Amino acid sequence: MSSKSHKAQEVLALLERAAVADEVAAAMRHNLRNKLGSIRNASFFLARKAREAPMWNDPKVQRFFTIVDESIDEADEIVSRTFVGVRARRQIQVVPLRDCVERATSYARVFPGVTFDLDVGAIAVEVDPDELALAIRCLLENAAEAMDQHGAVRVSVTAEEASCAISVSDTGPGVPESERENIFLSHRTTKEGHLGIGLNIARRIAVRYGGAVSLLSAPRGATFSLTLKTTSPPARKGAAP
Amino acid sequence: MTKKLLLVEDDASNRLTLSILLEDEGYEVDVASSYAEAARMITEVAGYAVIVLDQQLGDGLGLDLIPAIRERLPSAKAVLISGSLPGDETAALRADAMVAKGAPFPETLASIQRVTS
Repeated sequence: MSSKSHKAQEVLALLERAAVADEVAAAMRHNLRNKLGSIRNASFFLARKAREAPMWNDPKVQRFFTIVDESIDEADEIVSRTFVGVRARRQIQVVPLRDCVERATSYARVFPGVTFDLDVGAIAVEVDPDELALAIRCLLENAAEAMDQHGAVRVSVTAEEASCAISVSDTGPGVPESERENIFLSHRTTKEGHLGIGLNIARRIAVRYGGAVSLLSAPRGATFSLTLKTTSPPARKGAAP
Repeated sequence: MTKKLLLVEDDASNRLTLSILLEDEGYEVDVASSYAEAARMITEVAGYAVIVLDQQLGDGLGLDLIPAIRERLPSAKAVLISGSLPGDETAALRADAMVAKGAPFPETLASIQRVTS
């Protein structure tokens, strides 16, 4: 392996770790903030009631309420600081979308029997190419895992005036109706032994670039679409790439 | 006149504490514990002056309920409770007010009062 591709792989590994840390941290922050919010509101209610009772004359009672509030503030501060700075600095540049897709396919971890069928036109996007490649890779691996160790994952791009959609389709069993609404919840997976955060990583990255990830209806298998803002209008049909 | 408020929050403790504090402030509070329940109530129940939405609901995003609120309850205000999430800039444009997750109650109350006054 050349030192250049070794370096590229290191960058991707770092980004991947940062994306996983982001996702785990976001879930943890949400859960802890919920609990801190409950404690804060419960304490506020109790303090309000206590003020009307003789116990309020005991300075220790007031002091203890203050300790509860201060401790919540400190805990909130700790939660806010957790994992901040893990993410590598973004290198935003205008790049052909095809480069990001090809980078994603070359690094995707899939069974040897899984192939990629690409239909990507000449579209430029303004992104950190490693970051977008990671988002696409998450969708590719998600699609590949849905299939029985072999088959073709189709990647196609459709472009509109100022946006494009990267669609990743598999020929697996599709997403059951009962799971469709929950598919983007963190740590929710139908696959044994998986963390269930790949789609969340893809979505988090898409949102960063003003886009989204959604599950489209498909006659068979599943199709996930990642939308992005583009930097140039789509090339006219028949125009040179 | 008592203002009718819908609180959409999937965390049971948060739902209970916040709804009781808001009732103490004179609001008539209905609660929804999920995106699906809130979507149903927005369609079926009239007269909400304000809808307080947690952003991260177990089965969807609070922000995604705002179009239905605008359509079904055009006079209702939407207050979104959110942590620091990417996309908050969009949320700020679509909600009438934003409150930080876990903010002290007086701050939450002030935001609600501001949009309904």
